[in-house]
Amino acid sequence: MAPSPQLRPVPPPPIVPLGELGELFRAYSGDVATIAVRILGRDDEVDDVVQDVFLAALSGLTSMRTPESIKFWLGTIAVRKASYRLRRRRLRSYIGLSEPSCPELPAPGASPEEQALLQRVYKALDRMPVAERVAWILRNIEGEQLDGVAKLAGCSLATAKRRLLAAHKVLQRCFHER
Amino acid sequence: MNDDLDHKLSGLRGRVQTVWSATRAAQVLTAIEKRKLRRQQLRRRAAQGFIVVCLLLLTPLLFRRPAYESAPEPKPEVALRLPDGSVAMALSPDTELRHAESRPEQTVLRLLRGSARFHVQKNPRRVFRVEAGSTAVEVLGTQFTVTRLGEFTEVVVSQGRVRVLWDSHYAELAAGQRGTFPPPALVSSPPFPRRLPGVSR
Repeated sequence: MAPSPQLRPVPPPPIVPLGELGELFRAYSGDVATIAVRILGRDDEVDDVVQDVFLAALSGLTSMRTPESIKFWLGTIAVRKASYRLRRRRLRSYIGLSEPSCPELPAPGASPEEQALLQRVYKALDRMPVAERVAWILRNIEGEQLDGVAKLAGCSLATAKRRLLAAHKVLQRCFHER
Repeated sequence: MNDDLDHKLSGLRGRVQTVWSATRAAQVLTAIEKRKLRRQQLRRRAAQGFIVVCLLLLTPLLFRRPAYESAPEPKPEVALRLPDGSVAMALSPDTELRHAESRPEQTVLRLLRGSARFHVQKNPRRVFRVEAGSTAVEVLGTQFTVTRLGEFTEVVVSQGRVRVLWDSHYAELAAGQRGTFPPPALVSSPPFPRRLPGVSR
Protein backbone atom coordinates (compact mmCIF):
# COMPACT_ATOMS: atom_id res chain seq x y z
CA MET A 1 0.00 0.00 0.00
CA ALA A 2 1.36 3.34 -1.02
CA PRO A 3 1.85 5.85 1.79
CA SER A 4 -0.60 8.69 1.97
CA PRO A 5 0.68 12.11 0.83
CA GLN A 6 0.38 13.47 4.38
CA LEU A 7 2.83 10.90 5.72
CA ARG A 8 5.46 11.46 3.08
CA PRO A 9 8.70 12.57 4.79
CA VAL A 10 9.67 16.17 4.25
CA PRO A 11 13.07 16.38 2.54
CA PRO A 12 15.65 18.14 4.68
CA PRO A 13 16.75 21.55 3.49
CA PRO A 14 19.97 21.54 1.47
CA ILE A 15 23.04 22.26 3.46
CA VAL A 16 25.49 24.77 2.08
CA PRO A 17 29.10 24.43 3.15
CA LEU A 18 30.40 27.80 4.29
CA GLY A 19 34.02 28.08 3.51
CA GLU A 20 34.26 29.38 0.02
CA LEU A 21 33.79 33.12 -0.05
CA GLY A 22 33.30 33.09 -3.82
CA GLU A 23 30.32 30.74 -3.72
CA LEU A 24 28.71 32.58 -0.86
CA PHE A 25 29.25 35.90 -2.58
CA ARG A 26 27.82 34.76 -5.90
CA ALA A 27 24.75 33.38 -4.18
CA TYR A 28 23.91 36.23 -1.82
CA SER A 29 25.71 39.43 -2.80
CA GLY A 30 22.67 40.65 -4.78
CA ASP A 31 20.37 40.29 -1.76
CA VAL A 32 22.85 42.06 0.48
CA ALA A 33 23.23 44.90 -2.04
CA THR A 34 19.45 45.29 -2.25
CA ILE A 35 19.07 45.61 1.53
CA ALA A 36 21.96 48.07 1.61
CA VAL A 37 20.62 50.33 -1.14
CA ARG A 38 17.16 50.41 0.40
CA ILE A 39 18.43 51.38 3.82
CA LEU A 40 21.00 53.87 2.55
CA GLY A 41 18.77 55.34 -0.15
CA ARG A 42 21.74 55.82 -2.48
CA ASP A 43 23.87 53.63 -4.66
CA ASP A 44 27.35 55.04 -4.10
CA GLU A 45 27.95 53.36 -0.74
CA VAL A 46 26.46 49.97 -1.57
CA ASP A 47 29.73 48.39 -2.71
CA ASP A 48 31.41 49.35 0.56
CA VAL A 49 28.57 47.89 2.61
CA VAL A 50 28.67 44.64 0.62
CA GLN A 51 32.42 44.42 1.25
CA ASP A 52 31.91 45.05 4.97
CA VAL A 53 29.16 42.44 5.16
CA PHE A 54 31.13 39.65 3.52
CA LEU A 55 34.30 40.46 5.42
CA ALA A 56 32.34 40.31 8.67
CA ALA A 57 30.67 37.10 7.50
CA LEU A 58 34.07 35.48 6.86
CA SER A 59 34.79 35.36 10.57
CA GLY A 60 31.48 33.57 11.15
CA LEU A 61 31.96 30.93 8.49
CA THR A 62 32.56 28.11 10.89
CA SER A 63 29.41 26.04 10.69
CA MET A 64 27.11 24.61 8.07
CA ARG A 65 23.96 26.60 7.46
CA THR A 66 20.88 26.20 5.33
CA PRO A 67 20.48 28.68 2.44
CA GLU A 68 17.57 30.43 4.18
CA SER A 69 19.47 30.89 7.39
CA ILE A 70 22.51 32.16 5.49
CA LYS A 71 20.39 34.73 3.68
CA PHE A 72 18.80 35.89 6.93
CA TRP A 73 22.14 35.92 8.74
CA LEU A 74 23.74 38.02 5.98
CA GLY A 75 20.66 40.26 6.07
CA THR A 76 21.19 41.03 9.76
CA ILE A 77 24.82 41.89 9.06
CA ALA A 78 23.79 44.07 6.12
CA VAL A 79 21.26 45.96 8.28
CA ARG A 80 23.90 46.51 10.94
CA LYS A 81 26.56 47.70 8.50
CA ALA A 82 24.18 49.95 6.57
CA SER A 83 22.92 51.48 9.83
CA TYR A 84 26.50 52.14 10.81
CA ARG A 85 27.11 53.87 7.47
CA LEU A 86 23.98 55.96 7.94
CA ARG A 87 25.04 57.09 11.39
CA ARG A 88 28.52 57.88 10.13
CA ARG A 89 27.10 59.84 7.22
CA ARG A 90 24.92 61.87 9.58
CA LEU A 91 27.82 62.53 11.92
CA ARG A 92 30.04 63.66 9.05
CA SER A 93 27.28 65.88 7.78
CA TYR A 94 26.74 67.27 11.27
CA ILE A 95 30.39 68.26 11.69
CA GLY A 96 30.56 69.53 8.12
CA LEU A 97 32.83 66.87 6.67
CA SER A 98 30.54 65.83 3.84
CA GLU A 99 27.83 67.53 1.87
CA PRO A 100 24.33 66.28 2.59
CA SER A 101 23.87 65.76 -1.13
CA CYS A 102 20.99 63.55 -2.17
CA PRO A 103 21.84 61.62 -5.32
CA GLU A 104 19.08 60.22 -7.43
CA LEU A 105 17.34 57.32 -5.78
CA PRO A 106 17.99 54.05 -7.61
CA ALA A 107 14.50 52.88 -8.57
CA PRO A 108 14.84 51.46 -12.08
CA GLY A 109 11.28 50.16 -12.53
CA ALA A 110 9.43 53.03 -10.89
CA SER A 111 7.22 55.50 -12.72
CA PRO A 112 8.05 59.23 -12.48
CA GLU A 113 5.31 59.68 -9.86
CA GLU A 114 6.68 56.83 -7.81
CA GLN A 115 10.19 58.27 -8.20
CA ALA A 116 8.98 61.60 -6.86
CA LEU A 117 7.19 59.93 -3.97
CA LEU A 118 10.25 57.88 -3.11
CA GLN A 119 12.37 61.03 -3.07
CA ARG A 120 9.93 62.63 -0.65
CA VAL A 121 9.79 59.55 1.52
CA TYR A 122 13.56 59.25 1.78
CA LYS A 123 13.86 62.95 2.51
CA ALA A 124 11.44 62.42 5.38
CA LEU A 125 13.33 59.32 6.49
CA ASP A 126 16.47 61.44 6.75
CA ARG A 127 14.74 63.42 9.50
CA MET A 128 14.12 60.45 11.81
CA PRO A 129 16.46 58.37 13.94
CA VAL A 130 18.35 55.62 12.12
CA ALA A 131 16.67 52.79 14.04
CA GLU A 132 13.18 54.03 13.11
CA ARG A 133 14.21 54.60 9.52
CA VAL A 134 15.63 51.06 9.26
CA ALA A 135 12.50 49.53 10.76
CA TRP A 136 10.21 51.45 8.38
CA ILE A 137 12.28 50.53 5.32
CA LEU A 138 12.43 46.85 6.26
CA ARG A 139 8.66 46.80 6.71
CA ASN A 140 7.51 49.00 3.82
CA ILE A 141 10.23 48.88 1.16
CA GLU A 142 11.77 45.47 1.86
CA GLY A 143 8.36 43.98 2.65
CA GLU A 144 9.35 42.04 5.76
CA GLN A 145 6.83 40.76 8.31
CA LEU A 146 6.90 42.33 11.77
CA ASP A 147 8.88 39.52 13.36
CA GLY A 148 11.28 39.64 10.41
CA VAL A 149 11.78 43.36 10.98
CA ALA A 150 12.50 42.72 14.65
CA LYS A 151 15.01 39.96 13.92
CA LEU A 152 16.79 41.83 11.14
CA ALA A 153 16.99 44.99 13.22
CA GLY A 154 18.13 43.01 16.26
CA CYS A 155 15.37 44.19 18.57
CA SER A 156 12.23 42.85 20.20
CA LEU A 157 8.90 42.73 18.41
CA ALA A 158 7.51 45.45 20.69
CA THR A 159 10.46 47.70 19.95
CA ALA A 160 10.08 47.11 16.24
CA LYS A 161 6.39 48.06 16.44
CA ARG A 162 7.18 51.17 18.43
CA ARG A 163 9.81 52.22 15.91
CA LEU A 164 7.46 51.62 13.01
CA LEU A 165 4.76 53.70 14.64
CA ALA A 166 7.17 56.53 15.36
CA ALA A 167 8.46 56.46 11.78
CA HIS A 168 4.93 56.45 10.42
CA LYS A 169 4.05 59.50 12.49
CA VAL A 170 7.06 61.38 11.18
CA LEU A 171 6.15 60.49 7.62
CA GLN A 172 2.54 61.60 8.12
CA ARG A 173 3.70 64.87 9.58
CA CYS A 174 6.08 65.44 6.69
CA PHE A 175 3.42 64.74 4.11
CA HIS A 176 0.82 66.89 5.88
CA GLU A 177 3.21 69.82 6.13
CA ARG A 178 3.16 70.27 2.42
CA MET B 1 -6.00 61.26 4.04
CA ASN B 2 -4.01 58.79 6.12
CA ASP B 3 -5.43 55.85 4.21
CA ASP B 4 -4.52 57.57 0.98
CA LEU B 5 -0.93 58.03 2.16
CA ASP B 6 -0.71 54.42 3.35
CA HIS B 7 -2.03 53.26 0.02
CA LYS B 8 0.55 55.33 -1.81
CA LEU B 9 3.37 54.12 0.40
CA SER B 10 2.37 50.49 0.07
CA GLY B 11 2.94 50.83 -3.67
CA LEU B 12 6.61 51.58 -3.05
CA ARG B 13 7.38 48.06 -1.85
CA GLY B 14 10.35 46.64 -3.72
CA ARG B 15 10.75 49.74 -5.88
CA VAL B 16 14.22 50.73 -4.67
CA GLN B 17 16.70 48.50 -6.44
CA THR B 18 20.35 48.54 -7.34
CA VAL B 19 21.80 47.29 -10.58
CA TRP B 20 23.93 44.44 -9.34
CA SER B 21 25.72 43.29 -12.46
CA ALA B 22 28.25 40.47 -12.71
CA THR B 23 31.01 42.99 -13.45
CA ARG B 24 30.16 45.04 -10.38
CA ALA B 25 29.98 41.92 -8.24
CA ALA B 26 33.37 40.77 -9.54
CA GLN B 27 34.91 44.16 -8.69
CA VAL B 28 33.50 44.05 -5.19
CA LEU B 29 34.70 40.46 -4.74
CA THR B 30 38.21 41.46 -5.81
CA ALA B 31 38.14 44.33 -3.34
CA ILE B 32 37.01 41.95 -0.59
CA GLU B 33 39.87 39.56 -1.37
CA LYS B 34 42.34 42.45 -1.21
CA ARG B 35 40.94 43.66 2.10
CA LYS B 36 41.04 40.10 3.41
CA LEU B 37 44.72 39.78 2.48
CA ARG B 38 45.47 43.18 4.00
CA ARG B 39 43.67 42.16 7.18
CA GLN B 40 45.67 38.92 7.38
CA GLN B 41 48.93 40.83 6.92
CA LEU B 42 47.87 43.30 9.56
CA ARG B 43 47.05 40.48 11.98
CA ARG B 44 50.39 38.79 11.28
CA ARG B 45 52.23 42.05 11.89
CA ALA B 46 50.25 42.68 15.05
CA ALA B 47 51.11 39.18 16.27
CA GLN B 48 54.79 39.71 15.46
CA GLY B 49 54.72 43.06 17.20
CA PHE B 50 53.06 41.50 20.21
CA ILE B 51 55.73 38.79 20.38
CA VAL B 52 58.51 41.38 20.07
CA VAL B 53 56.97 43.48 22.83
CA CYS B 54 56.60 40.40 25.04
CA LEU B 55 60.23 39.46 24.43
CA LEU B 56 61.35 42.99 25.21
CA LEU B 57 59.38 42.95 28.42
CA LEU B 58 60.39 39.44 29.47
CA THR B 59 64.10 39.55 28.58
CA PRO B 60 65.12 41.71 31.53
CA LEU B 61 63.13 39.44 33.83
CA LEU B 62 64.75 36.28 32.44
CA PHE B 63 68.30 37.55 32.67
CA ARG B 64 67.95 39.48 35.88
CA ARG B 65 70.21 38.35 38.67
CA PRO B 66 68.27 36.98 41.58
CA ALA B 67 68.13 39.53 44.30
CA TYR B 68 69.65 37.77 47.26
CA GLU B 69 69.56 39.59 50.48
CA SER B 70 73.05 40.09 51.71
CA ALA B 71 73.52 38.53 55.07
CA PRO B 72 74.10 41.11 57.74
CA GLU B 73 77.69 41.31 58.80
CA PRO B 74 78.07 39.82 62.24
CA LYS B 75 78.51 42.54 64.79
CA PRO B 76 81.66 42.07 66.79
CA GLU B 77 80.84 40.92 70.24
CA VAL B 78 82.37 42.69 73.22
CA ALA B 79 84.60 40.11 74.84
CA LEU B 80 86.05 42.31 77.53
CA ARG B 81 85.43 45.79 78.88
CA LEU B 82 87.96 47.42 81.16
CA PRO B 83 87.16 49.99 83.87
CA ASP B 84 88.97 52.81 81.95
CA GLY B 85 86.74 52.31 78.91
CA SER B 86 89.11 50.19 76.83
CA VAL B 87 87.26 47.44 74.99
CA ALA B 88 88.25 44.13 73.41
CA MET B 89 85.84 42.74 70.80
CA ALA B 90 85.85 39.13 69.62
CA LEU B 91 86.00 38.86 65.82
CA SER B 92 85.48 35.09 65.61
CA PRO B 93 83.21 32.79 67.57
CA ASP B 94 86.09 30.72 68.95
CA THR B 95 87.89 33.72 70.44
CA GLU B 96 89.16 33.16 73.93
CA LEU B 97 90.55 36.15 75.74
CA ARG B 98 91.60 36.35 79.35
CA HIS B 99 92.41 39.20 81.68
CA ALA B 100 95.84 38.16 82.91
CA GLU B 101 96.92 41.18 84.88
CA SER B 102 95.42 44.48 85.93
CA ARG B 103 97.57 47.03 87.69
CA PRO B 104 97.61 50.86 87.50
CA GLU B 105 100.81 50.81 85.47
CA GLN B 106 100.09 47.71 83.36
CA THR B 107 97.12 45.83 81.90
CA VAL B 108 97.77 42.43 80.35
CA LEU B 109 95.28 40.48 78.27
CA ARG B 110 95.98 37.04 76.93
CA LEU B 111 94.54 35.91 73.60
CA LEU B 112 94.44 32.15 73.75
CA ARG B 113 92.78 31.61 70.35
CA GLY B 114 90.71 33.40 67.74
CA SER B 115 90.87 37.06 66.87
CA ALA B 116 90.08 40.25 68.75
CA ARG B 117 90.06 43.98 68.12
CA PHE B 118 91.16 46.33 70.84
CA HIS B 119 90.10 49.91 71.44
CA VAL B 120 92.51 51.19 74.05
CA GLN B 121 92.02 54.48 75.87
CA LYS B 122 95.14 56.67 75.90
CA ASN B 123 96.98 56.51 79.19
CA PRO B 124 100.71 57.41 79.14
CA ARG B 125 101.24 56.06 82.66
CA ARG B 126 99.97 52.59 81.84
CA VAL B 127 101.21 49.85 79.53
CA PHE B 128 98.45 47.96 77.72
CA ARG B 129 99.72 44.60 76.67
CA VAL B 130 98.10 41.80 74.71
CA GLU B 131 99.90 38.49 74.76
CA ALA B 132 99.24 35.99 72.00
CA GLY B 133 101.46 32.95 72.26
CA SER B 134 105.08 34.05 72.09
CA THR B 135 104.10 37.49 70.78
CA ALA B 136 103.07 40.48 72.81
CA VAL B 137 101.63 43.77 71.67
CA GLU B 138 102.15 46.86 73.80
CA VAL B 139 100.30 50.11 73.29
CA LEU B 140 99.57 53.39 74.91
CA GLY B 141 96.34 54.31 73.19
CA THR B 142 95.15 52.89 69.86
CA GLN B 143 92.91 50.48 68.00
CA PHE B 144 94.33 47.25 66.69
CA THR B 145 93.41 43.66 65.94
CA VAL B 146 95.27 40.60 67.10
CA THR B 147 94.62 37.25 65.46
CA ARG B 148 96.07 33.92 66.48
CA LEU B 149 97.24 31.94 63.44
CA GLY B 150 98.56 28.81 65.05
CA GLU B 151 102.04 29.58 66.38
CA PHE B 152 102.01 32.95 64.59
CA THR B 153 100.09 36.08 65.45
CA GLU B 154 98.80 38.68 63.03
CA VAL B 155 98.61 42.27 64.21
CA VAL B 156 96.67 44.95 62.29
CA VAL B 157 96.78 48.53 63.53
CA SER B 158 93.77 50.79 62.84
CA GLN B 159 94.80 53.86 64.84
CA GLY B 160 97.84 54.99 66.75
CA ARG B 161 101.00 52.98 67.11
CA VAL B 162 101.86 49.66 68.75
CA ARG B 163 104.95 47.81 69.68
CA VAL B 164 105.06 44.09 68.94
CA LEU B 165 107.42 41.96 70.97
CA TRP B 166 108.38 38.35 70.45
CA ASP B 167 111.24 36.38 71.95
CA SER B 168 113.95 39.02 72.27
CA HIS B 169 112.79 41.10 69.28
CA TYR B 170 110.36 43.89 68.80
CA ALA B 171 108.80 45.90 65.98
CA GLU B 172 106.65 48.97 65.82
CA LEU B 173 103.55 49.18 63.68
CA ALA B 174 101.81 52.42 62.80
CA ALA B 175 98.18 52.96 61.76
CA GLY B 176 97.33 51.02 58.61
CA GLN B 177 100.21 48.55 59.01
CA ARG B 178 99.94 44.85 59.61
CA GLY B 179 102.45 42.13 60.40
CA THR B 180 102.75 38.48 61.24
CA PHE B 181 104.85 37.58 64.24
CA PRO B 182 107.26 36.04 64.74
CA PRO B 183 108.28 36.71 61.12
CA PRO B 184 109.31 33.27 59.83
CA ALA B 185 112.28 34.56 57.79
CA LEU B 186 113.65 36.75 60.54
CA VAL B 187 113.81 34.40 63.42
CA SER B 188 117.62 34.61 63.40
CA SER B 189 117.76 38.37 62.82
CA PRO B 190 119.56 40.62 65.31
CA PRO B 191 117.48 41.67 68.26
CA PHE B 192 115.45 44.87 68.46
CA PRO B 193 115.32 46.00 64.82
CA ARG B 194 113.64 49.34 64.34
CA ARG B 195 111.87 48.28 61.14
CA LEU B 196 111.18 44.81 59.82
CA PRO B 197 110.63 43.75 56.19
CA GLY B 198 107.75 41.51 57.36
CA VAL B 199 105.81 44.62 58.23
CA SER B 200 103.61 45.90 55.43
CA ARG B 201 101.45 48.96 55.03
